[in-house]
Amino acid sequence: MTYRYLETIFAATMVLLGATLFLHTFAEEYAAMSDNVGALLYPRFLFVMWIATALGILWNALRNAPNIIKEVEWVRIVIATACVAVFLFLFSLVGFVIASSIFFTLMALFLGAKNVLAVVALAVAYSYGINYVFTQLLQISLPALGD
Amino acid sequence: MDAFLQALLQTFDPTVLFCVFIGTALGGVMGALPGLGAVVGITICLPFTFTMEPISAIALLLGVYAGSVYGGSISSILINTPGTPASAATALEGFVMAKKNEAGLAIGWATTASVFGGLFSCMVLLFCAPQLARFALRFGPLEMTALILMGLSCISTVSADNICKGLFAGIVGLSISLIGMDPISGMTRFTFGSFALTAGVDLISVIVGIFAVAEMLSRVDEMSRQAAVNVVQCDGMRIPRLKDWKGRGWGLLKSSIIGSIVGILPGAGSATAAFISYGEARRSSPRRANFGNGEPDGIIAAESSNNAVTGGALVPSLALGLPGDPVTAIMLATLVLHGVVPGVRLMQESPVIVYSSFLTLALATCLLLPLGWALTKAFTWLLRIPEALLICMILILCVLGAYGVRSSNTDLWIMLLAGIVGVIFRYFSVPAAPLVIGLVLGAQFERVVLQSAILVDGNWWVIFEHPIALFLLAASALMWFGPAVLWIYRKLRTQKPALIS
Repeated sequence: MTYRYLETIFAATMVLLGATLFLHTFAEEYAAMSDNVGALLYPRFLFVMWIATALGILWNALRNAPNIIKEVEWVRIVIATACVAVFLFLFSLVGFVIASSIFFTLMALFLGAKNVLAVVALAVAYSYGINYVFTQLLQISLPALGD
Repeated sequence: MDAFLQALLQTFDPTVLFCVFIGTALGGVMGALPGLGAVVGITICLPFTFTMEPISAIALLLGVYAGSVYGGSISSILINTPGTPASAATALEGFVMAKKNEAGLAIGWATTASVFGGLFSCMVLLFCAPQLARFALRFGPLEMTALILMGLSCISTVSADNICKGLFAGIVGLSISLIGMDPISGMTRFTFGSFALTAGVDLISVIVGIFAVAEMLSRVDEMSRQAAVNVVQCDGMRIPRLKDWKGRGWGLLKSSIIGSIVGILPGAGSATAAFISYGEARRSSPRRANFGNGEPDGIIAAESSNNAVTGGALVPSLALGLPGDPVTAIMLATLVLHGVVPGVRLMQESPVIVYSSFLTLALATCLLLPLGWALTKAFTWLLRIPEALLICMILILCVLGAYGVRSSNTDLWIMLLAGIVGVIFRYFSVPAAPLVIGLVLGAQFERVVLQSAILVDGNWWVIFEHPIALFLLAASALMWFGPAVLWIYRKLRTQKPALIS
């Protein structure tokens, strides 16, 4: 898909999102807020500006965006994002040290680190080190296994 | 004067000195590593500041700021890859000098110019910020509305090639700040049933996500296409002799002035300053014929200017509470975390913090000299750290940065979401800086807009009784509609000759 096509989709999605948010300000849950002077005026004004600027992007995408294929390895980005998501999921489940060690190892191997043993050792040492600095020196509590 | 002396005493506290030292060293390393830079450096330092005193926290962040702006010059000179966009102009002359076996001398020119530029901007900060803050005390809700609008308009229009993209990002930032409690009715809004969002979206999570996480995810893509780097041999930094400076002093001063002025303007940034100064030096230097062949005047112009931006950028941030770039936005957010309210009254209410910021920035700038010496020696070793491991380490610190503020899992997911949005924004060249600044100023902007609405009570002609507000609104209108008017004017001019013929 060309960049122009993708930017058009992006801009159109932003217009729709802005319109949805604007319509949302008329929802029943905000009926009581309408009694106050200007309470909804500001959000509505913002969403109108949102739609206007997104329409500007859409117009520019249709007229000026280059019709080229911009190379991005989306699969690598999606896998890296998934690794972070797994880390966040495990973070509260098994605690920081284990989650961080697993994430570090998986991510480093995915990014091309060769020596598995060295990566695992570094992952565990780094996670323990950071955990010590935060919990003992900075007194910031991090989730631990069994919390 | 009492506040200044108190700030002086607090700045020379061993903890603060240690924070400046660590911050500057870490900033130098982050700046020297291509692709990282000031914003990522400051973002990963955020979790360490949560339990610090405000002055120590600001000292650490200012150290990272000064160090990273300078650090970019090392990689520009040694591998022709600017560590930060601000050092791109340095590479034009620095790398040519490095290829002539003068890498040490090129780093010496860059370091001394950086120190001068940085210290010059600290003087500007020291003299301008209090005056501006005193003037800003006269600002009422109308003036504040106009001021924030102008700041946002400026950064939105300057930071993007397409004005709509910059403005869109700013509006998204303002819209995100709507989530949570309504300031008038106290009712929740735009939470879509989520209890966790009742307290609003945490600013730090969004900053960490949109800058650091997005940067790391983008690096994952870019590292697959990157070629191996060739480092030019360098034995160490060589400071230029005093006689070599002959005839270069005016250029140094001029670039420092340009950097300080550009720094004060919201959104312009250090890369802009460096290129303006480089262009000016190329035009006016007595050695302009040598530009492109490794002319030190080019390095002096770029480096003194981009380091002078650091102090300049703090002027509107500390005097008006108006961040001009992501770095100062993060600093103001850090002050909020420590219970200090940024804004026009910051200088009056917390003068010690403000003066300490001036002093720590000056201290960090002075540290650039030994840092340059150490970094030049360590640079080859630094580049050997595999990028894969760096990305993992930084992402783990990002998670802790987002978690440490409220210990909330929701904040972690917001961080990841902001990271994904950041990657998409980068792909479509939508700048992230206006979004973050919109988010930082959002609550304050809404408050002053509503206060203004109550004040004018439907009679908007009142604005003509407030010349400052009127001037600022006119400036904003010029930024919004100026390009469109110019476009129509050009269109009409090109059509006229066609009609005549």
